Amino acid sequence: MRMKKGSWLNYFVFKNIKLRKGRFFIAISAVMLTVAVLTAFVVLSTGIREKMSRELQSYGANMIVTTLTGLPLKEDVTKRIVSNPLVRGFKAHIYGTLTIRGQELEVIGVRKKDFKGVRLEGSFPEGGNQVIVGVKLAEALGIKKGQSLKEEKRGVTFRVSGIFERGSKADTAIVMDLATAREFFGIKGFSALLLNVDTRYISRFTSELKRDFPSLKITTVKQVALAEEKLLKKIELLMVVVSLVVVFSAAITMGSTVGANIIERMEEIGLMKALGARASEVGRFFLYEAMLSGIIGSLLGTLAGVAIAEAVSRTAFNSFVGVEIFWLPLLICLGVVIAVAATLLPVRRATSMRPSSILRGEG
Amino acid sequence: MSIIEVQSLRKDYSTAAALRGVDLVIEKGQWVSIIGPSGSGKTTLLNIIGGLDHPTDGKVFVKGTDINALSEDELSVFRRENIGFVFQQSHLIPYLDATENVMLAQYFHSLPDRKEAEEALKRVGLGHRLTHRPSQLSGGEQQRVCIARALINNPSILLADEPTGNLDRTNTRNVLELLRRLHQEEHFTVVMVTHDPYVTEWAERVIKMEDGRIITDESVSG
Ligand SMILES: Nc1ncnc2c1ncn2[C@@H]1O[C@H](COP(=O)(O)OP(=O)(O)O)[C@@H](O)[C@H]1O
Ligand SMILES: [Mg+2]
Repeated sequence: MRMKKGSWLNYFVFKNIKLRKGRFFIAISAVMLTVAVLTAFVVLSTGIREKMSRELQSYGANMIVTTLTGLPLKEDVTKRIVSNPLVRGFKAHIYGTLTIRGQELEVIGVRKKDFKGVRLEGSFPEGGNQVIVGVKLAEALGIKKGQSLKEEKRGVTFRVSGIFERGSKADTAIVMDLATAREFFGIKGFSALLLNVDTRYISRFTSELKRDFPSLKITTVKQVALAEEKLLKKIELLMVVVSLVVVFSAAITMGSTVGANIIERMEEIGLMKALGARASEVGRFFLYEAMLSGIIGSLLGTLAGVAIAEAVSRTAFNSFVGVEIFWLPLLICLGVVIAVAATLLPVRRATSMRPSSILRGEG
Repeated sequence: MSIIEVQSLRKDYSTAAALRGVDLVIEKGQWVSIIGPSGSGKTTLLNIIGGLDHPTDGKVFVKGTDINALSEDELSVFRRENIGFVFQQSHLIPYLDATENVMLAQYFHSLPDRKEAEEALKRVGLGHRLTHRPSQLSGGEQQRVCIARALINNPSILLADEPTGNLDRTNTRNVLELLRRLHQEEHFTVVMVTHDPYVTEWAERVIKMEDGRIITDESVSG
């Protein structure tokens, strides 16, 4: 009929929790809230770099690769460069000039799929001798959609299938389809490769390229890279600050919940000590309870946190974020540690009090 | 053979002195009543003997041990091994039933044993109240649970601070009769604080306190 100490501890703590469901619930909620917010932040911030950088691709290329000799980039070199996992996106260009109305005009050959973020009136010049003209150039030369343009050097006529506006200096150029440009200028390969490289590794990538292809000329677009890096740093700093605030306020909530619980149970503590309990033996009951609320709260909190992260991600990025599983046990441990740490101090203070001052009193 | 020895005990609180030099020797197995008006220092004396409080000055030997020399944890162990307490307020744990309240004392002493706890409750006449919560028990019944709890680990000393303070005459008599029976069976030492002269009728020795001092100390026959 003798009970083990451990099973009695269980029994006792659960009986107490049953009586004080409200307090236990508050303690669980405090842990849950903390862990939820932390989980959401961890999931988002691990997912966010990837998300952000994918988003930031629309910012455009941050590296331009040409050759030192001015000769076109060979097809196989291009393939090797763009297959590097640090390259998040690329466009290939062909550059040349057309002589029209006595003027040498700049021409960019580009694939239709790479011609994005541009307002185009008309259609992309697919096949045949078609071009589109930048709005500034068109204005300057009085070129309209549907007109024909005669290339004077080679005696070829191009039809203007559209006028485009990018809002950059490209608006003074003529654009044709990459295949048309290749054929017209007789270029194998590409004139330039515009890369979007993962900003974190941009210098590593540059030195690798220089090592593997010494004849390449590499220009990084510093502004784009810096802006991206700055934005990410800011977001991360914000996350760290918010996380700290959350952990801090959770510890305070836990502490005051436990504090109130302990004030209610002072008589119990005094009695236990009178019955011969050491401070640590009294503390065990409270820590056990704190551990329970820590574990339950953390489990619920990680679930809630992942849900929050997914909701945020869906609103902000229109997609789900991946969860790195190894974070979850870590966050659960953190929740338990917060719950126990917040309990430790008030319990220490209460259990080290003289039992006489608690138990005495006539009323 | 003396079991408790108190030498020039002083206890000063910031506002006043509660004990102003108390000397006292209590023999093993004796039933001692300490009587005196409210504020005379009875509770303070009892708490210091039981290691629940520390004196400002003086010495307390219990079973030959200078208990002031013990650390807080050592005092706890000393209490669980040697002393049973009964207070005026029962100080029962509200969410445990009568048996479980007794088992809590077993838990801190050694191991909880339901059978033994139930036996103890039967001996104090609560065989029909084993699974009642404190709130479901009368004041007299609560104090009897406390007596069962105080004696469950066979302490050599029972320290009782106004144990019948909240009880009417009939219940007071019943509780004291019960204690007398247990005292006769088990020969523990009783130190009982009271301000009620009726309670001292059960004692073998009555010590009167006033203003932090012992003013009379009489042995009574019968
Ligand atoms: N914690 C305390 N702080 C200040 N004074 C106290 C404290 N405890 C007791 N006293 C004072 O010490 C004196 C003796 O108290 P106590 O031992 O409780 O007397 P009794 O039990 O005989 O009524 C009283 O004057 C009381 O006010
Ligand atoms: Mg008193």
